[in-house]
Amino acid sequence: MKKGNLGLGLKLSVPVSDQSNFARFLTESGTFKDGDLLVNRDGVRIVSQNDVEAPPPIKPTDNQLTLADIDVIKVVGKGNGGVVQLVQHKWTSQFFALKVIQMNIEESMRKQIAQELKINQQAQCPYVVVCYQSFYENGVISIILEYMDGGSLADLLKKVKTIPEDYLAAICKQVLKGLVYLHHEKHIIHRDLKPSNLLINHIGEVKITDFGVSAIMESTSGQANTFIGTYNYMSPERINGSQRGYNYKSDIWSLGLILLECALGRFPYAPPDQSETWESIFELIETIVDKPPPIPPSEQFSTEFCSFISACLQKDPKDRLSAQELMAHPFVNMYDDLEVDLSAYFSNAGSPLATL
Amino acid sequence: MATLVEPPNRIKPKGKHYYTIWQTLFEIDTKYVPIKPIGRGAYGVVCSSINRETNEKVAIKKIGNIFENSIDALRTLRELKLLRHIRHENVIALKDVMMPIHRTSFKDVYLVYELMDTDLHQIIKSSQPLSNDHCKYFLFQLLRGLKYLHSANILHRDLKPGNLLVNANCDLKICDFGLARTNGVDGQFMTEYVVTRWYRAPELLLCCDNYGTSIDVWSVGCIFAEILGRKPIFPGTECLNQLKLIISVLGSQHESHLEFIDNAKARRFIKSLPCTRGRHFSQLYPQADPLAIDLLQKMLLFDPTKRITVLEALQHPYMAGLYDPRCNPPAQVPISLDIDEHWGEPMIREMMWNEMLHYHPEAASTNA
Repeated sequence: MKKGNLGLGLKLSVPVSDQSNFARFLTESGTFKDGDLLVNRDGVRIVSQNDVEAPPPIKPTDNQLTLADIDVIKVVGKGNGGVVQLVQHKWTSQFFALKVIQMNIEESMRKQIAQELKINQQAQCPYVVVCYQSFYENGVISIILEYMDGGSLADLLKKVKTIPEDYLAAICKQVLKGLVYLHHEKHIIHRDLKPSNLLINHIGEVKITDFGVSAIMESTSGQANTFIGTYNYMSPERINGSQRGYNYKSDIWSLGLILLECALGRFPYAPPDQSETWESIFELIETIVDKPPPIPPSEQFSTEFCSFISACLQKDPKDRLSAQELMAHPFVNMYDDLEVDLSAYFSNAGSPLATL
Repeated sequence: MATLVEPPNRIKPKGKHYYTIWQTLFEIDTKYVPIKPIGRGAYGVVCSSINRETNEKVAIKKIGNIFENSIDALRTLRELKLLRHIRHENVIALKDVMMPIHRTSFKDVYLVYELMDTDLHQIIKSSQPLSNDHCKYFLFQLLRGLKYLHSANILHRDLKPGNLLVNANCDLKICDFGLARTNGVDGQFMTEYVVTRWYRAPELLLCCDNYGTSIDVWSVGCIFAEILGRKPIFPGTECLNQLKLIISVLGSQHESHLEFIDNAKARRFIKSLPCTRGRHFSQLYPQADPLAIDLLQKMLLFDPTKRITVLEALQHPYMAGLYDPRCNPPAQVPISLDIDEHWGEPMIREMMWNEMLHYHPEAASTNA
C-alpha cells in the first residue's frame, strides 16, 4: 500500500500542540479560564462575564498563600487523576492538604474541576472543608485545602466498626448544618456524599468535602472496577431517572445510608439470598430501586434514630425531609444535654492519619 | 520547553542525560534530544524528541513510579507485549523502550513511539471543516487497522478519538493498548477498568460475560458519529446514564434484541427504561452522506450479534473506492498474552525487563 491518502489530496490543519489541549481554557498569560473563573499560578478569581473591561490580572499579592511557600510532607490520598498531600507552610508552620489534579483532556472533566473551584470559592461555612486557594500551572491544578487530621469517616469506621447513637447524633448535626448551608444558602447539591467525603479532626469537627472531583479521580485513575461503589449511596430516583433531574433530596438519601452504615457497621443493603457479594451492579440497583429501604432494628436503636433514618430513606424524594426540616428532628437534639465529646472520641479512635 | 539539567546526586550514568520537561525529570538515552512537551495524560508526560542517530522525530512517553499502581504497571506491560508484535501502518509503532540503569529497582519507564502531529480528539473539537472524504478516509484507516488487530485476536477495548493519532496528511494510527487483550485465547477473566465510558458497547455496560470483536465496532460507530456531529454521541455521566442515552437514541429494544444479555437483572433494567422511539441518525446528522448514515446505523446496533463486523464494514458501499482486500493481509499469527492479573511487582518488573531486552539485546549480559 502506497503512503499517503490514496490520492484524495486530503489535508488537515494541525492544532498548535502546546496550546491546543487547553485552547478553550488557557489564555496567553497561562491562565486557566472557564466562563467566569480564572486560575493561574498566583491564584484564582471569579469575574462576572458582564464586565465590559478585561478582567483584572491575578497578582501574587492577591493572596498570602503561594505554592513556593509550601513544603510537601507526605501523600495522604491517591488516585492517578489526583493526589492529596499533607503540606506545611514554611513561614507559619500551619498544615494544609494540597490536592493536585492533572488536567485530563476530557472536556467534561475539566468542567467538573472548574465547578469544584467555583464552589470552593463560594463555600464559607464551618461544616464544609475550607479551600484557601487554587492555582493552575503547566497543566496542573493545585488546591490548598484545610487539613483534617482525623482523616475521613470511612477511616474511622475501619477502626471502630460501629458508632454509638450519641456520637452519631453529634456527627449528624454537623453534617446537617453543612447541608443546610449547601442546599438552602448556596443551592449546591453535593451528589457524592459518602463516608470518605466526610472528614474529621482532633477538635471533633466533621466537614463535608469533595464536590465532584472524586468522580474525576475514579474516571481517570484506572482503578479496578468501582461500579458498586459508584452506586452505593445514590438515591433511587437518581438511579432510575424517573424524575427530571435529581435535587437536594438525593443528598438526604445518602446521609441516611451513611448514618445507618455507621450504626450497623456495614453497608445497609446486603446482597440477597445470603450471598457475600453483589452479582452485578444491576442486582444492587434493583435492590435499591425495587425493594423497601433498609431500616434499623428497633430493638437495637432508639425510636428517634429509627424515625430519623426513615425520614431520610423515603424512596419518593417528595416524602423525604429536607436538611432544614431534619435539623428540628428529635434525634438530632436528644443528646444535647449529654455534652457528647467528639474530640475525645475521634482522638481515642486514633485514625491512621492522626499521627504525623 | 525541555531544559538540560544535572543528573540527580550528580552521578551521571553512561549513555544517559537529563532534561526537565514540565517539571518532570526525564532520564533518557543520549541519542535522544527532547524538543518540547506535547502532552500530559493520566499515565505520564510525553515530549517530542529527535533521534540523533537517525535524524528521526519521535515521541517519548515517561511513565513515572510505574509500580506504585499495579494496574498501571500491567497496562504498560500489556502495551509493551502487544506493540512488539504489531506491524501495521494504521497502528502506532513502538520504536524503542529505554533500558533502565538498575534492573531490580527502576521506577520509571520510557517508551519511544513514532511521532504524529495530533489526535482525532483535537481535530474533532477544532473549528476546521471536515469533508465527507475526511470522514470516510479516517473511518477506512481505523477499520483497516482494526481488521489487522482482530485477525490477530486482539481486542482494543478502549477506542476513542484521543487514542487515534493523525498527521496533517490525514494518516491515522491506533494507539494506547493498555486495555487490549486477546479474544478468548487466554480465556482469563479480566477486571474491568473504569475508563472513559462514552465509547463502551452495551454488552460491556450490561456486564455480559461473553463479548468479542463487536465491542470495538461499537466504539468505532461512536467515533464515526462524533466526526459527523463534532461532539460525542453518548456522553454519559456514569454507567446507567450511559445506557439511558444509548436507548434514547436507538429507541427501546424489542425482546429479540435483548437475548444477548445473560444477566437477568441487567435485562430487567433495560426493559424498565421509559419507552421511546429513538431518533434516526439522519435527524442527528442531516448533512451526512446517506451511505454514511446506513453504515453508522449498522455499527450502532444494540445487539452485538447483529452488529456489522469490521470486514463487512470495509465492504460497505460507503467504503467503495478505498477498500481493496488484496492489500490488507491478516497478521502473521494470532498473538497470545500470557499476563496474569495477579502478578506482583517482582514478576511484572521481570517481565518488563524481558520486553526491554527485545529492543536492547546487547544489555542481556548486564546484570545490574
